[in-house]
Amino acid sequence: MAGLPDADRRVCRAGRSFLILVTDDMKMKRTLRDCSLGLLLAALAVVLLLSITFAVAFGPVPIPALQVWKIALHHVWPDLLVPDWSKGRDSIVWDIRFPRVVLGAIVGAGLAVVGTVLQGITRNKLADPHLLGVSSGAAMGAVVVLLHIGMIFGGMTLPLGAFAGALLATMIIAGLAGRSGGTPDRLILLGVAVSFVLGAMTSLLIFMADHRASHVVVFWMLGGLGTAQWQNLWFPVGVLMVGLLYLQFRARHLNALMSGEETAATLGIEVGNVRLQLFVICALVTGTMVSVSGMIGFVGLMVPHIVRQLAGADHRRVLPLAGLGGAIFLIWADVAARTILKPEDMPIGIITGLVGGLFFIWITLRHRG
Amino acid sequence: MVRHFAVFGFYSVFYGESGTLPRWSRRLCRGDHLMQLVRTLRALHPPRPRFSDPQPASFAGSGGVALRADRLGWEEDGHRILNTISLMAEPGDIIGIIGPNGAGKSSLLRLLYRFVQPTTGSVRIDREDIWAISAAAFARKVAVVLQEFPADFGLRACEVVETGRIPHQSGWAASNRRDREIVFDAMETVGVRALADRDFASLSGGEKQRVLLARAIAQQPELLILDEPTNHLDIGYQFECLRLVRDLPMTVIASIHDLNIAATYCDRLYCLDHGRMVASGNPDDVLTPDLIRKVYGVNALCDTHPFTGRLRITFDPN
Repeated sequence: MAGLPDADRRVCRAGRSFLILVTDDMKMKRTLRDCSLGLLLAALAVVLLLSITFAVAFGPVPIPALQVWKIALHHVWPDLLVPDWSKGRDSIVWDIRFPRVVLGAIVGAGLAVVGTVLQGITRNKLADPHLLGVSSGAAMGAVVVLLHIGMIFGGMTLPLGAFAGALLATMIIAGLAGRSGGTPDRLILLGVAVSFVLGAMTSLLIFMADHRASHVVVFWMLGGLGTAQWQNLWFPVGVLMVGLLYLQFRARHLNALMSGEETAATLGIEVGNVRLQLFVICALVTGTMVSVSGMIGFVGLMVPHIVRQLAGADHRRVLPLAGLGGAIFLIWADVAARTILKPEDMPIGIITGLVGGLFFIWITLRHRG
Repeated sequence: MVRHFAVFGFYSVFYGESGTLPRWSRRLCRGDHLMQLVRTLRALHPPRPRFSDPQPASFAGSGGVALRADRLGWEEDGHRILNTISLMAEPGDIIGIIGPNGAGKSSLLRLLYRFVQPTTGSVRIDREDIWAISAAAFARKVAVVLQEFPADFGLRACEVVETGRIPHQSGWAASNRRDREIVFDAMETVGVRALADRDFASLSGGEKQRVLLARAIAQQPELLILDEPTNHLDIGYQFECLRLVRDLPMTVIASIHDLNIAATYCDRLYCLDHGRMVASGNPDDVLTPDLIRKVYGVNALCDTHPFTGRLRITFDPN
């Protein structure tokens, strides 16, 4: 710090004392659960920004972090900066890496939030869009569109098909569960069964279709963010925002549902109605995410669980934190997917499945103990 | 004028709203100069009155509400579970519902707390049919404590109690300071204030029951319905729980297994058997050796309790 001008030294000193204050405060509290939501959100937002920066900067052509944001700023606000970088770099950063990283963040956030909600509704920590068959339904809808119907409504056909499939799956599960008494465990069992049935039907559809098209579909189903483009991002962003706003509004009702349906009903909540709305929103978000990125499993299982462990189970906290956590997790999973089999792109579903499966085993073992 | 604004700004940041600021920002203010300033300001401006009610927050309800159930009947899958049951509670009463296992106590309570709709008959609270008002409006009047515990997701006791505020909240509004005051007052009332930050799942059975009672109180109801409140509680907690309930300024309807407890704490008793009302009235009139033999198939001796002066029932194990 000795060589710095006075002003900079003052800034450094102020920054350091601020950091000491914050860390001191964190030490005073027993856990992150006592930290205010605002502080945690701010911390995760910083981590998210850093992750985005790293994920964009990292790759076969490494790009300095500062330049990443200069290029981004230049595209958002063209007159502000004079470009001092090559056209090629510009295209790598803005057209290829940025959309991919942003898509990863959106999909991760969406899946994590849906996982949180499904775990809340079913009162089961193991619920997840993948396990409950919502993702399988979405995949089946998308496969029907890709292989058999074609893009009859233009670019929106795929998300719509996936949403229809996801909705169909959730309605089947909810209908069956409602008929048989609707205990949460039953919901999970039925979800797994429906997941298998829909998975089998999807495989049949792929098997019966043209071989070359099938190859594309199989690759897409394994999950990947490689097809990201700016113009395809707006729909998922919109769905995620609407979903988040609605779910945050329902967070306190989710807390009440934790106590059981009968108790929730005595708190003035129309349980059947609220649960149906939550299911539809989950189907919408899952369908959209599956249509843009394929089947990425286990994000919705892992992230809410970790967030609950660290930051408490109040859904008003868990929902936004799980969203940010899921975004960060999937960005790093994608970095891993790009790196491990360099220069080949590995389907990200393999990474999350691997990590998630091991995590699942760990939870199960802990549950016993 | 300007100085006034500056003073007001500091005042609201450091005093008025300090509860809503994140803790680290309050810590930031712990520099000596700032604290000195805050102290001066506090001395100049005495704290403004809080905008909560003058009466204790948890007891905003009146002394209770009257409930009247007329000729209730309920069928499930063609089986008649409940048959023409009439029941009345005056404001402030403690009503006990007794009867052997499977007599229909829980089913009757479900009709009363608006979980299932009766096949025949009606339930009215203050002359208003409970199915004519919305679920949330009903929840503002009636709170229920069930034998149903929250799933083990790590919710804290205070968060469980806070769900009692849901019927009073609408739209996007999160819990405000008044809600939090009511939550902690309710926990204070039942003596679980110290457990506020504990995991609900880590509490003992008696503590859980009291936290759920605190939630019901935080709901600020006029009628409290309890489904076997003394189940799974040891003897000390049983008495404590009912003493607490008796001192609450609300009408209470509880299903109770233990006849001695029912006799000690209830103003009126209703006895169910096979879905029919077989007796109702004062504990002394209802709990006769004849009735106990008829309903429970047990011989009993009824006399006066030496400590309380109320009815005491001694059972003959043979």
